[in-house]
Amino acid sequence: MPYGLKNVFAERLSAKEKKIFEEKVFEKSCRSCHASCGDCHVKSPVVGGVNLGLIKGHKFIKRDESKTCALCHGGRVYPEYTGEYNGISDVHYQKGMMCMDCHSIKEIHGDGTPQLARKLLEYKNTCTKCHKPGSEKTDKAKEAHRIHDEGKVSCFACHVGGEYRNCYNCHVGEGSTSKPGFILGRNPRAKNQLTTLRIVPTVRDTFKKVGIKMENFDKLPNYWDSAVHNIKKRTDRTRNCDTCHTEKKNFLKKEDLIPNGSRANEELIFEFKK
Amino acid sequence: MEKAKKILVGLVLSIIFTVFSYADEFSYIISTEWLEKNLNNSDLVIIDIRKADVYKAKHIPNSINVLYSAWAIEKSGRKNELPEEDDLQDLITSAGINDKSLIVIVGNSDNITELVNMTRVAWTLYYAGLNKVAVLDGGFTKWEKEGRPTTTEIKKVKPGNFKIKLNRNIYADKDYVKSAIGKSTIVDTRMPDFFFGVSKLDFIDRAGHISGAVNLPSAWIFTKDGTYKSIQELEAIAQGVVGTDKNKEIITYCDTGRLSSGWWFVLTKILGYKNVKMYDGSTEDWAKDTTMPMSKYTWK
Repeated sequence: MPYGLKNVFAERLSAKEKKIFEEKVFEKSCRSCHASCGDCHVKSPVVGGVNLGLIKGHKFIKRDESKTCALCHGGRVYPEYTGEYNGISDVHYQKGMMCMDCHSIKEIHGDGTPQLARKLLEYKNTCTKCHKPGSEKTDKAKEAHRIHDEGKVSCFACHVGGEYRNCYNCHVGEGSTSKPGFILGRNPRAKNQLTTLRIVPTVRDTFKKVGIKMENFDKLPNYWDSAVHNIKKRTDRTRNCDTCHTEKKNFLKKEDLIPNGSRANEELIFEFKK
Repeated sequence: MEKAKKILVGLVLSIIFTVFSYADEFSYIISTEWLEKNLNNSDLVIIDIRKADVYKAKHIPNSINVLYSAWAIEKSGRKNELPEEDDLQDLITSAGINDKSLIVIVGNSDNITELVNMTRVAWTLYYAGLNKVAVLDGGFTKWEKEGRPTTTEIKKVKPGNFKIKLNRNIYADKDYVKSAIGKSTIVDTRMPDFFFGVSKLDFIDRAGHISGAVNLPSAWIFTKDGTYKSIQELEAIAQGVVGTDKNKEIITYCDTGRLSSGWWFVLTKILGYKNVKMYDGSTEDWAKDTTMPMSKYTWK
């Protein structure tokens, strides 16, 4: 499966639709999020036409995440991280850490080599760069991590603190609706791994207004792996095996799939081995 | 002459109050002057509960940042609840708190919520079994206004050795409060509109107050500039509502267990009331259960 929003999404389109998408959607919408130097170091980035202006007069600011990162990532990641979305702040934020305490300058600026997607960056941040497997303080944690190794279960699946924003039913020009949710299922990029999924609000007629039918809509699911930013050391899943192994709490089920969604969604339903 | 002497003694007492309570020798309300002089006291743990970005921009030297919402979490659909015991232990250890630590909570003081955030964190630490937890009078807002030193340097914290010993005597749950109606003094610390039942927050299921409660708003603790009122004034306000018997059981509550920490703190740590609990679940919990008695459109 390809990486990068544009490359992945293109799988849903015919050759003719790809051209329309480039012209009427990508340039006017997707690319408008991409920041320049000044958007992070001199003024806050313009989001949805809202311009908050200079960060601190005409000074060059090294970092001020709440006035820069927070604006582009203010729909999901940032308010989930600070707890403003659902009252569950991330353990790293609780201890005074901000975006760039985990996400390095290299990760943000790159090294001059064009990349197809941020997920392909070698120096992308991961939990295990700081929390080395085997360095756990208790035998219980060591054993739990050994059994649920990252190939089978992502860190997020166990350590996401609670519900996060899921957006539904997006239509060009009309936006989408959102509500809190918590979904565990197979990672669409690595089907053997259980992880936190987030609903991507693209529905069959999202781009109808611009003449895109998405002829290959069912090639991609409506749920995608998500690095949810409300991490907790202990959760109902880390405290009690039954939460997943007996109750199967928050696991994606057939009856919960979004109506009229992609046929690929069913592949993400996780069943325990009998 | 005698009258002048009395006035002088009163004045001196009032000044001393900002530094010392008469509960014991430890200062529960720390003045900015005292804190500046004691910044390098190795027993002092200054916990800044403001948001990480504002802390990073400017904070009191030697203070550490542990966000308010780490101490008062959302749990079982309720706001401002105690963390689980093991999580609370982790927070205390990672804040570098030792057996003999003197802890000072620092927040902003621009509004009543920020002011009682400090007392709520203090209550949580007392619940954990600590006994020397103070709040900074006027908070960071006053500190900054007075031009006292600030830094952007982040202090490295060595994990502390304090092991929590839960002090359940200061905690009340719904069943306990129900059994205390008619026996203890139940104190609603919200503003009168909420007590009387003409106003209610959206997430509160029923308007009004716990039947039999009295009203003593936490907003009345503070002056307009976000500092604590004088001991005489606080004592007069409190006595007019909860009486002078310092051994009688008092239970404070509000909507979510945040405002109520204000009077819990003042009654216990400043005025010397010996048996004060806080109903952590408060009206958010009480009003959900329709079998729990509530009264509205009455001051009784």
